[in-house]
Amino acid sequence: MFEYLIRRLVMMIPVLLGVLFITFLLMFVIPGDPITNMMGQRANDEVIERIRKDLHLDDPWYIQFFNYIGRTLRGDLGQSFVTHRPVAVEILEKLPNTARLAISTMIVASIMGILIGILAAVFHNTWIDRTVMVFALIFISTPVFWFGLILIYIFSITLGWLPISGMGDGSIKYLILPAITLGTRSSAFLARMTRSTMLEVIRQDFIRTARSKGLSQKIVIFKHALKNAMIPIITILGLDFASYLNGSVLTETIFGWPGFGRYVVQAINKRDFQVIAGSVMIGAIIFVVANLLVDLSYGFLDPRIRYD
Amino acid sequence: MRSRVTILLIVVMVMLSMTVLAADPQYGGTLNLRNSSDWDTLDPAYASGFNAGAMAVKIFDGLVRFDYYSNDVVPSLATDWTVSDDRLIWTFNLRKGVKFHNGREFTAHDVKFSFDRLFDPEVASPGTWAYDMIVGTDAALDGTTEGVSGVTVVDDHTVQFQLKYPFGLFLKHLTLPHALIVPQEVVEKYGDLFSENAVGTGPWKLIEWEHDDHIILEANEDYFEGRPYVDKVYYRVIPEDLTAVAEFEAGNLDFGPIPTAEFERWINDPIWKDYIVKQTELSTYYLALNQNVKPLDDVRVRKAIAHAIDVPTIIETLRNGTDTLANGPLPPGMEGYSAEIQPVEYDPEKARQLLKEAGYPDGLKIELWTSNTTDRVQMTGVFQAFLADVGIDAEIIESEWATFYPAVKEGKVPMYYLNWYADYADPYNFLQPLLYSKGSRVGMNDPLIDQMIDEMERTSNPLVRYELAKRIAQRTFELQPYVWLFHTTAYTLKQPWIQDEIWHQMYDADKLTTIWIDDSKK
Repeated sequence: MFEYLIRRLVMMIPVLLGVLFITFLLMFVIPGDPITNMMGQRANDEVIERIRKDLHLDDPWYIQFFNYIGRTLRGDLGQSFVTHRPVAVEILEKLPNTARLAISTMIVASIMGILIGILAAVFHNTWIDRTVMVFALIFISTPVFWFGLILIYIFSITLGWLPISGMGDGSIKYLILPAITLGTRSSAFLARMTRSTMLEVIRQDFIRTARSKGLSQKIVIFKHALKNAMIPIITILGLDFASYLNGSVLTETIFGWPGFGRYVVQAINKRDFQVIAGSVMIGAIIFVVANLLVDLSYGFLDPRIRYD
Repeated sequence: MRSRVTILLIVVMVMLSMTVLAADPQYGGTLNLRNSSDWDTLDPAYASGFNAGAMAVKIFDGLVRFDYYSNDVVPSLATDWTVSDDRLIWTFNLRKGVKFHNGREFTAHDVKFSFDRLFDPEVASPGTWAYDMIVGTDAALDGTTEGVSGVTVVDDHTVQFQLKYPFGLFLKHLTLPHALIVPQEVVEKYGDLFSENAVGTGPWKLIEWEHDDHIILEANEDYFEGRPYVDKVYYRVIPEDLTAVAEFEAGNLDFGPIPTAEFERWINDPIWKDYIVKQTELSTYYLALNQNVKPLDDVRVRKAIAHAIDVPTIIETLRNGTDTLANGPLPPGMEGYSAEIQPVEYDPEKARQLLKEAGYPDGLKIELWTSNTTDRVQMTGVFQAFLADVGIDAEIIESEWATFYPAVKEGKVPMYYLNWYADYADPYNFLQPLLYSKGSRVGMNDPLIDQMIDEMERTSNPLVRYELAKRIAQRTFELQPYVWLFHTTAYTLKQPWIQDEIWHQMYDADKLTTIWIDDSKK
């Protein structure tokens, strides 16, 4: 297990290098000039060229790439071209906000999704199953942008129960609407996945055995069936969580949530290369670690799985 | 005699009632405002965007500023100034007793430091273009001299600027955010993070900045023009217009935008229609026709395009009928604007005729570039349809701003849809960037226009400048380097309790010192 962990962590290095390499290549291939954008419409061409030189943006891409790797290994993610602030500081400001939203979203998605999925599986082919699946389909197809605005209209404007946007004083009431907006779609996916894996498990012999032993329906479903159905569900949850940690641009935009997603999109729009590279690397680390955690969780869910 | 007494009595009564009606401004309260994005910076050296500039002027002051109610330049940190006979030496007498937010007194050394910093090659400010008429700026920027030799401290309260050539717009350039005065010790203490710890002499102190979320400003009790009426300003970053409108309706914002899709609802609302402020902007939207690219090098083709597009219909439909039809590069409200100039008429038959004369009887194919925001793409779609009607096959190339703008700047884009907003209120600021040959993005090379723009730059007589502006505007119809489309009007919602706010056409004019909150209307 320990060896497996070390091996996976070592494997992260070529993955991250690969991601950075591709990001650098993309930044050179896509049209657009960070300095022209940074300096506004009136800056002198001479000044623009000098800044390009000062920032070593006129160096060949591979020199810039190796310089960037060298700096990153020393723990320096560089400075934003636009705000002149250290990229690491900016990312560390945004990540906790995004993490709060991601965790709340996962709570909403997993509770709603798994429970509804179980309900649909237990009442397979009844009106409950059909209703749940129709709603799941509706929520999967609902655009996040529209859904967020509808929630604002109902719960903030009409009923006045919840704040409209922003993080306010940081209290939980500001999280509810963004988390529901983001989590509902995820929960619909999860409900469908839970339903189909539960149906598969429920039909297996060991469940029949459990039932014939006289175990209650609750114990059969939650202790025996759900545990065995969890592997695909955890896989989806893990990857969803990683993607939410990388930000959710639309939800962050509608609710004015100062998160990582909006930050990265703004950097891409302004061609703020240092921010893009730093953010992509952090995003890649999040995905790799989430994958690792998902893989490790398999062993806990199914003791037959060994990490050799 | 009796009737005279009666009239006198009526006048006195009306005046008395007006005094009663015009309530005295109240101190206190918090203003809740919105910005659609975070501020790139609050550091004047880097404040090239409208957002950054509009915020920087709340915290810092310049030597001069725009009057709150007109486009006149009035004293700010300078009390008065003199200009030498050759118009090369400008001497500013500075206000005494002004303090930075850290309590230190402002002096001429701060002015010198601020301008030296702007031209420090290490600082790499985007604002150097605005002051390159000052002696010694090239050497400072090259790093051959330390500081700008043309800015000298005469004594603690007098500073002098020496210019390379007479520049009639020097005072107007000093209103720009790049010329705001910063304290040396704070800049040196924080370095690149000065923006986060901005300290100026302005009416507002920066208290808190949570990036992408909010900025809190607090009234400067010691402001030399008197403290602002409001105690605090809470600026929230709300990117989405529809969310901002919801916040406004809930009473959480004092001003709200009117999204295009909601225009009809608000403008016809019986309660809110009285609280909608209409503001004509110093902007010109245009379709640029690059003379360096064939077939746009032929003036007949450019004129054909101008005649092919029905701008009044576009304004009525796509723009909700809110904008003003452009009759040249200058917007109404700008000195030098002339209402007498007739815009190009929509005449597709004439367009076809001109194309035929230019040797394109079967039409032609051309690229039409735009940045990829929804309204712009929509607009270019309409241009495409009008052009197709006269036989011009326009291929729309839509791209992100970060791609679109550098391509335009390189001067290689044949035809593009863009706009110009004033950096400062003067016709020169429209005509020079749009029509001067040096650095032109549409291949302008007209000696007559160049000569008139040079003259505008040097003359100190605003009337001469405005007259030249009219002649240049007229000349553009002969050359047709652009299809002048419209000048925008902004519509903003305001809460009933907001009083005496300033609606200036310049983004950097308002320092929020006149606005107050009438609690009785809350």
